Amino acid sequence: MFSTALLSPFVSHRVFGADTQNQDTDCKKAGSYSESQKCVPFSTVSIFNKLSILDKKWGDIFGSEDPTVLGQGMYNFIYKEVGVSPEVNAAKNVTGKYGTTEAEMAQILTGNISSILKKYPSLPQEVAMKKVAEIQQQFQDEKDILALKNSIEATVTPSEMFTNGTTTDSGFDLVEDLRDIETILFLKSDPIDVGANWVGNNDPNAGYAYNPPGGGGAGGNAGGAGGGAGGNAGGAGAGQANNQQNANQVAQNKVPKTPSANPNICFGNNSLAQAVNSFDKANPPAQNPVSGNQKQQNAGAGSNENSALTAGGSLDILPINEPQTPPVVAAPAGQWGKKDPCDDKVFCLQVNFVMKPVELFQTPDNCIACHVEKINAKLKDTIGHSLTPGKATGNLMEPEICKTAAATSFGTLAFNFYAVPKPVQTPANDDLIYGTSIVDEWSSFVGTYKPFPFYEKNPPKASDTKADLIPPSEIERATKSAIANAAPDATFEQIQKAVTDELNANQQLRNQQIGIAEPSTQSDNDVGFYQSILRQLEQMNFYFDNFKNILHSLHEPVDSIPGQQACTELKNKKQCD
Amino acid sequence: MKNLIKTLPIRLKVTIGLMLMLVIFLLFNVVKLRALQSSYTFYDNPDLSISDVMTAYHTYINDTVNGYTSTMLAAPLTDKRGNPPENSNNCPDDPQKNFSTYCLAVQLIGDDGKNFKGFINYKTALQNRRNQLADKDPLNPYVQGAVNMVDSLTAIRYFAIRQTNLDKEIDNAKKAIDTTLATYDELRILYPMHKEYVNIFNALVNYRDKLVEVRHETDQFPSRFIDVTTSKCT
Repeated sequence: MFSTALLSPFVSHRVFGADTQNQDTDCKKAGSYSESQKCVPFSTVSIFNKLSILDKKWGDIFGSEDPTVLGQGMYNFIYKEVGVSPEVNAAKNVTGKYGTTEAEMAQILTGNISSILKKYPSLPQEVAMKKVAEIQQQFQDEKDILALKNSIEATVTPSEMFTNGTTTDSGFDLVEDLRDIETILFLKSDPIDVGANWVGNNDPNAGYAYNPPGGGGAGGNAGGAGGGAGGNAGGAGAGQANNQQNANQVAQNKVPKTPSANPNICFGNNSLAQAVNSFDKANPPAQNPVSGNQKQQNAGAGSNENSALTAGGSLDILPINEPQTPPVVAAPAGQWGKKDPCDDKVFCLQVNFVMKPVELFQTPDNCIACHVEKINAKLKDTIGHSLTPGKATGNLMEPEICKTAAATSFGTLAFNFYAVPKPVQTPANDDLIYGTSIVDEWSSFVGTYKPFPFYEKNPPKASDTKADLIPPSEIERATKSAIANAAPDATFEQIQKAVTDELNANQQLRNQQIGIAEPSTQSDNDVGFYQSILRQLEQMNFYFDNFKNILHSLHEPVDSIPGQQACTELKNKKQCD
Repeated sequence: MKNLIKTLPIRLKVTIGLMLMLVIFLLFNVVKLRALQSSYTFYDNPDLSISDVMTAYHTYINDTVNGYTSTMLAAPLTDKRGNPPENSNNCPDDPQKNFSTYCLAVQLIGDDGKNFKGFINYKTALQNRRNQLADKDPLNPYVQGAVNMVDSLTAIRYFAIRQTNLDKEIDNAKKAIDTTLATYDELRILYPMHKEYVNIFNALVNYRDKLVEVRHETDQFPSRFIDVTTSKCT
C-alpha cells in the first residue's frame, strides 16, 4: 500500500490513442491471430501510425519560410526515415509481389503459416514453412536495401539540403539566395550545377540514355522452365525476340558517347559498364514460369501444389507478381464543351490587349548593372560634348568662340561626374584562422574612440611646461563653447542649458558610433561581413537619393536644395551679353 | 522511568511494543523505497507497455527539439545564446536561456543527471525489458497468448522477434538523435545566413530602385546639342 502511494508520482499511466479498447476487442475477437496488423508483436510502425508522420517528406518539414513552422516535427520525421520507413516500404513491396493483404503479410513475416494454410488447406506444412522462410528472406533483403538507402539519405541530406540550389526540399536555400542576389545585380546568373541533380539526358552527347524495357519483357517470362504448367508458353517466341532486341538497344545506349563539357560531372568506368552489360546478357533475371492467374486456374483444376515446386524448382504458391511499368499514355484532351470557333474559318485573328505603364527601360533590363551601364552611356552623351561654341558659321579664320556666353553657361551649369570606385571592405579570410583577441579589440576600441582622455598612455609630466598637461574635459569644452557662442545678454540658465544640450548630443553621438563599431569588432567574422555590406548599401542608397535630388533640382524646385534651377536659368539667359 | 514502566499493565506494554515495531518497519520501508526511487525512471514503469514507452520517449524528444528549433530560428544572428556555455556542466533546461547544439544534445541524451527522460534512461529501460518474455501490452492480446504458453513455439519466436526489435529500436533511436543534432546544427548555422542574405537582397532591391530614379533623371538630359554656337559674337 505504501509503496504504491510513494511510487504513484512516477507511474502515471498514459494511454496513447483513443481507440485502445476497440483494438483490444478486435484482436481478442479473432483469437490468437487477427487479420489486423496491430495484433502482431510490437513494431515501430504502430508507434508512428499514432504520431501521423508516415506520409511526411523532407520538404514538408523544412518547406516553410515561417520560423514558427520551419523544422517542427524534425525529430519524428528523421526517426521515421531511419527506423520505420524501411520496414513499412519493404512490407509493401513484398505484399505487392505476393498478392497478399498487408495483414496477411504481417502474419507471415512473424512466421505464422496459418494465412497460407487458409488459402491452400491441402498444402503440407513443410512447404508452407519453406514459403514463409522465402518471403521472410525477401522481406529482409528489401528492408536492408531500403534501410541502407534511408541511412545514407539521412546522413547526407541535412548537410546539403539548404545548399543544393533548390527549395523543393527546404524552405530556403543559400545557393538560391546567392542566385537571386546575382540576378538583381547582373540580371543573369551562371548556372550552379555543384550539388544539383545530374540530368544527363539534357545533353544528347553525354550521359546514359535510358531506354525503358518494352512489352517484350512480359513475353520473355514464358521462356523459362514452365513444364509443370503446360500450355502456357504461347507467344513466348515473339516476346523473347523483342526482349533481346531491347536488351541490345539498352546495352548500346548505356555506352557513353562523348565526355560532357561540364567539369562537375564524373563519368562511370566504361569498362565496368560494359562488364555489367555482358553479365546481364549472359545471366537474364530469373522469371516465374507462370503468371498468377494461370497458376490459380491450374490449382482450381485440382493439380497438386507440389507439382510446380518439383518441376519448376521454385515455390509457386503465392506467385510473385512482378510490378509492371504502365505504358505511357497521353493525357486525355480537355473537354471544353464548346467548339473552337476557329475550326471552321480559314484563319482567325486573336487580339490581346496588353496594358502596362510606359517605362524608359524594359523589364529585362531591370538590374543594377544594367541601370549603371545605361546611366553612364547617357551621361557620356550629355557631358561628352563641349558646350563651347567652337564652330564658325560664317567668319572664316576668326576664332569663333563666344567667351562671354561660354563663361556664363559654365558659371550657371556647373556639375561634373566622376566615377570613383569604392571597394566594400570585408573581413579578411585569415581572420577565420587566426581569430581575434578580445584584449586587442578592446584596446583598439578604446584607442580609436578614446572615451577616457585623461588616461592616455604616457601622459605628459607636470614638469614639462611645453606640453599640454591635461586635455580639457568634455564638460570644460562644452562650457567654453557655450560661453563663446552665447549672446551678450545670455543668462546663466541659458548657458547651462546649452552645456547640457551639447553633453547630451555628445552622448548620443557616442552611442551611435559604438553601435556602428560594434558589429565590426564582433568575434564572429560573418556578422561583420553582413553588417559591413548592409552598411555600404544603405550609404549608397542615401547617396542615390541625393544624386536624384541634385539632378532633379536642375530643372525643378526641390525642397532640400534651395536656389534657382540651373537649366531654367540657362534657357532664359541670352547667348551673348 | 523504570518504575513507570513497571507500573504499566502488561497489555499496554505489549501494545506499545508492537506499535514501536510497526513504526520501525514503516520507516525501514520508506528508506528502502526512497533508495529505489533514485534509480527508477519513467520508462521503468511496469504498467507501461513498450509501445507506450516508445511513444512517450519519442514524443518527449520531438517536443524538446521543436522547442529548441523555434527558439533558435527566432533569434538574431548575433545572439550569444547559440554558443555553448563556458562551463559544460551549466546547460540550462530552458532553450530561452541557451539553444546551442551542445545543450540540446545534453537534453536529448540526458547525461546531466537531471533529465530522466533522455536517451540514456530510455536505452536502459529497453535493455531491462529485453530479457522479459512480455510486458503488459493492452494493444496486443497476441502477446498475452504467448505469455500463457498456449503455443510454446510461438512464444519462443515472439521472444526472439521482441529481442531483435528492441535492439534495433535502441540503434534507431541513437541514429535518429545523431541525425537530428546534425540537422539542427546545420539549421542553426545556415538559417541566420539566409536571413542576412534576405536583408542584403532587400537592400539591393532598394538600391536598384534608387538607381532607377537616378536614371529617370539622367534620361531627360539632352544628348544632341543644336545651335550651341552663335553668329552674333562680337
